Amino acid sequence: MNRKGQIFSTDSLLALVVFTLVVALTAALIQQFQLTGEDAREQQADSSRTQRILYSLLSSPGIPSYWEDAGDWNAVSLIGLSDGGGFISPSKWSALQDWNGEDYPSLLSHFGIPDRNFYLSMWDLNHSLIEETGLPPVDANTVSSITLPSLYEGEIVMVQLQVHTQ
Amino acid sequence: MNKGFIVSVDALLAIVILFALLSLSFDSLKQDGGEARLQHMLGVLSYQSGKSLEVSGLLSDAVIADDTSGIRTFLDGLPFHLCGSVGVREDVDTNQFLFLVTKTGCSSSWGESVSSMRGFIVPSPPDANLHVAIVSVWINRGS
Repeated sequence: MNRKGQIFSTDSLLALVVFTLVVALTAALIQQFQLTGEDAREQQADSSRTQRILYSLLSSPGIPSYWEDAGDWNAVSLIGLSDGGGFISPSKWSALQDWNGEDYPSLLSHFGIPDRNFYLSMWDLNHSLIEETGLPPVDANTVSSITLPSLYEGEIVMVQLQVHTQ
Repeated sequence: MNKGFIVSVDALLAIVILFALLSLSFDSLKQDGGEARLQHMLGVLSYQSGKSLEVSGLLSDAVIADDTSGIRTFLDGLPFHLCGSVGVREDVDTNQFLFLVTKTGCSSSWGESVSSMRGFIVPSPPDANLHVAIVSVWINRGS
């Protein structure tokens, strides 16, 4: 008589187990979605930032325009490599290499990536390395990379920027 | 008593379908963001390629000499995962290409491409003629 009224019947226990499993599965799935979403957002932000930095380097002469002659890196607001006519200025590239050698952390700050590293390389159309600066992404955890064509000393070159964490 | 049990086959099926729909929705949202980013990157590459080809004089040289080897060298120098083509028209209003060069090993049927149009001057003393270059880039899905 009391069996049907008993709260801990086999059915109720089974229902409780199934309910708990469903709740646990839902929680795990939502957490997985969140992690995947965060990874995707972070990857997207890295990629957009890399693209923005390289495009700015290639399309702008920098601020001030002749920042390579400024002598004081703190006086530079924006780093640009363009000579104003669509070519990469050899003197600006050389100044960037000097800056990289003298004060790499401040260079990262100017690029807006103080917690990351960068490697900028220039290749001819036969895939031979012409110039490079920065830190190569050896044993890097994540690498965001973009390649754009430009012009250097009268020739078309491919410029690759890699932003990475170690 | 069995019929009254809440976890029937129907309910389980409904839960499975719900999870499947949720998974599909999240996956779709993720792909949309990635696709937009890719399209933007290809747009920048297309624009920058057209600019480099014009400023270097490769476009006008190709028209004058009727020789597209310089443009082909440029396209073959693109990163492996990218494909590209360069088409040149004599006029904006015509659909007829003077020439159309595609990166070696690539096919324009491999998915959606992003294109940019760029006008350039071809010297033809005592005049100069305006031509139009259309640079298209897309992801190399052939390998």
